[in-house]
Amino acid sequence: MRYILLFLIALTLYGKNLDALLQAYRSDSELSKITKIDSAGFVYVYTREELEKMQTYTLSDILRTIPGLNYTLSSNYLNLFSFVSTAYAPPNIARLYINDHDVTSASFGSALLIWGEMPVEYIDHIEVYKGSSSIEFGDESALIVIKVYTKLPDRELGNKLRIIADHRGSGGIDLYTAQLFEDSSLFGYLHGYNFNAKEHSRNGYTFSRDKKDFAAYVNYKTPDYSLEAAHYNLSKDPFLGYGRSAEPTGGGLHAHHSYVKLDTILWQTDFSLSLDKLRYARVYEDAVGIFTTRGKVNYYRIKFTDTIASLNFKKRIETRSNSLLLGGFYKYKGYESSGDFDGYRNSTSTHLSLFSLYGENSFYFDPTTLLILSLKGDFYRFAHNVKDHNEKTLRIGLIKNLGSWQLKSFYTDTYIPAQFFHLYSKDNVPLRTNPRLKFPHIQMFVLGGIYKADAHTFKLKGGAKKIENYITYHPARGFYNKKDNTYFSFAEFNYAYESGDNKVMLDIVKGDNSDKHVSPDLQINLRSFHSLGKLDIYNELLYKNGYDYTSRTVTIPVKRSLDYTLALRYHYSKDLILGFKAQNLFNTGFKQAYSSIDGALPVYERRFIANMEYTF
Amino acid sequence: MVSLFGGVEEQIYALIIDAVFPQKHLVKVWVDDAKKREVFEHIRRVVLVRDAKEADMLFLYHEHKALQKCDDCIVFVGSYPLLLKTQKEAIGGFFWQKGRPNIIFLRKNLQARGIHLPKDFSKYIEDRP
Repeated sequence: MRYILLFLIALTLYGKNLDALLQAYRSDSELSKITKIDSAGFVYVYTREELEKMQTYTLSDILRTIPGLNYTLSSNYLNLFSFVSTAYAPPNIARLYINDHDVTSASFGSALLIWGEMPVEYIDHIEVYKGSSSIEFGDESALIVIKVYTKLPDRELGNKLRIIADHRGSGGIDLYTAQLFEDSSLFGYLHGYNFNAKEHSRNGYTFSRDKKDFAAYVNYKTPDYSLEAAHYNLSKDPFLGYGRSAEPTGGGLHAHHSYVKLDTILWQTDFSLSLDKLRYARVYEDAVGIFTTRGKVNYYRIKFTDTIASLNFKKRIETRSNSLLLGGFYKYKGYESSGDFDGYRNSTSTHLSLFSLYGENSFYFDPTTLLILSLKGDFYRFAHNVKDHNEKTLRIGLIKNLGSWQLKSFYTDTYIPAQFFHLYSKDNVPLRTNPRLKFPHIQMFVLGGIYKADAHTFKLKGGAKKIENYITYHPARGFYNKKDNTYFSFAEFNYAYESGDNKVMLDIVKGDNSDKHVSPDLQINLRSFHSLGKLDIYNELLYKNGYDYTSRTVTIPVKRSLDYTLALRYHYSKDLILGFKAQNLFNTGFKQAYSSIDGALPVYERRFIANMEYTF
Repeated sequence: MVSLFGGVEEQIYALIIDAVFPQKHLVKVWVDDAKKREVFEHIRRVVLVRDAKEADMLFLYHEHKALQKCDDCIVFVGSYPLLLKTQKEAIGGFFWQKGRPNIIFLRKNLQARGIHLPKDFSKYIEDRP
C-alpha cells in the first residue's frame, strides 16, 4: 500500500515538476543574462518577464522607474532627464542603442527627443547603465546608456498581436512575426499608436500633449550576417510651446528616423556598417512671442536633417585571466538646418568626420579580483571653421568578489561633445552659436557594494561628479562655457527579494549639487511582481519629495508626489492574455514645474488602460 | 529517477527520458548537436552513442536525415520547424515558441510506439492529423 502511495505521489509530481522546471528554464534563459555587462558599470536590468508583467508599452514606462533619475517633459514636450536635485540634464548625456546600434541624432545629440517614447512590444529586455561611459559599448560615450534588445525569432517563432486602449480614447496596435527558415531567420514588426492626453489650459490657451507614432522594424539573420532596418515616425502637439509665457496658438513636432545596419564577422573581428537618416521638424506658434536673436517672433519653424554613416569594428582577445578589447569607428555626420521666423528664412549645412580608437583591458588578478583599464581617443574634424577637437576618455574600474559580497568602483575622466546646434549656424538665427566652444569635461567616481544572501540582495553605492566647461546659453552671449565648475553627488540604496514568482524591489536615492536644487532630491521606488495562478500582479510606487523650482523670474514650490501604478495580467489561455493597468491611480504623481505658466503639471496623467495580447 | 542535480535543462530532459523509458535502467541516446550533447552527458541514466543505429532515442536539432539511420529509434526534436518535418515519426519536441519554452508530445506517434506517458503529462500531449 505504501509503495502504491509513493508511486502515485511520484506520478503527481511529474507534471508539476515539469511545469516548475519549464518556468525555471525560462527564467534562467533570459537573454539579459547574456547581454548584461557587469564590468561596464552599475546596471539596471529590465527582463522580458518584468516588461510583460509591468505591461510596458513605451520606453518611458521603463525610464520613469530608473533610480536617481527623473524622466520628465520640458515645456516644448521634449523627453529629458534630470538627476536627483538638478535641472534638466543636457539632451546629449544619454545615448540609446537598439541591438547595439546608436540612434542618437547628430544635430541635437539626443536619441530621446525622437525615440524617448518608442514602442517596446518588439523588445526582449532593456539595460540602463548610469555613470559608466564604458568603452566596452564600442561607440560614443555618454553618462547614461540605454540598451534595448529586440526579441529573437528562434525564441518567438510565431506571430503576436497586441491591442491597447485607454479611457481617454487612445488606441494602439502592435503586430510581429518571427519565422525560421533552413539557414536564416526573420523578425518583422509593425506598430501604430494614437495617444490622447488630458488637456490643460490657462488664460484661454490650451496645452495639448496628444501624439501619434508609427514604427516598422525588420531583422534578417543568417550564419554570416545580420541585416536590420527600422523606421520610426512621430508627431506631437506643442504642449506649452516655446514662448516665455505659454500662449501656444499652434505648432508641433514631426520627426522621423530611418536606419539600416549590417553586422558581420570578418577575420574574427566584429564589423558593423550603418546608415541613418533623421528629420526633425518643429513649429512653434505663440501669441506673446518666442525669443530669437532677431527679437520676438510669433511663428517659429526649424527643421534639422541628419545623415549619419558609420563603420564600427571591434575585436576581443582573450586568455584565461585577461580580456583585451580593441576597436574603433568612423562616423560621417551630415547636418542641415533650415528655419522660418516670421518670414525670415535661413538654412545651414555642415558636416563632421569623427574617428575613434579605443582599448579596454580586463585583467583577473585572481578569480575574485578584476581590474579594468580603458582608454579611448576621439578625433573630431568639423567643416566650416568649427574648431577641431581631440578628446580622450580614461576609465579605471575594480571589481572584487568576497564570498557573498561584491565591491565595485569606477573612476572615469570623460567629456560630453557639443552638438551642431551649439556650434554652427550661418547667420546665428534663431540662436547664437559658438564654433569655439570647449566640450564639457567630466570626472566622476562611483563606489558600491552588493551583498547577496539567499533570496535577498542589498546594494549600496555613492558617487560624485565634477563638470567643467558646462555649456549654457545667454541671449547676448549665445552658447558659452561656464567658468565655475558644477558638482553633483548621490547616495543610493537598493534592496531586492526574489523567490519563485515573487519579486520585490526597493530603491532609495538622495542627491545633491552645487547649483540650486530645482528637482526632487529624494526618490523612493518600490516595485513588486507576483504571480497567482493565471494572474500576474505588478505594483509600482514612485515617491519624490517636494522641491522649489527656481528660474530667473519665478520660484515655484511643488509638493511631494506619490505615483502608484497597478497592472493586472490574466492568462486566459496559452495564447490569449488580457491586461488592465491603472497608471498614477491616485492622481498624486510627479509634477514638473514650468516658469512659463508659473505652475506645475503632472508628467504622467492618471490613466486606465486595457490591453489584449494574442499569439498565433 | 530524475536527476536532482545539474542544470534545469538537464532536469527537463531527464524527466522526459524517465517518462518515455520508465523501466529501462540505462537509455542509449544519440544527439546531432555538439553543445546539446554536453547537456545529456550529465544525465545519469543516459549513455551517449556515436552511431544512431545503436540508440534507443534520437534527439534531433538540425536535420531529420538521421531518421533514415534508425528505424526503431524513438525521435524527439529541438525545434518547431523540425517537429513539422518529422511529425509522422517524432514523438514530440522541446523548443522555444511564442517567447516561451514548450514541450509537445504527439499522441498518434506515442500510441504507434506503445508509449504510455504518466497522466500528468497529458497537458503536453497534442492530437495532430
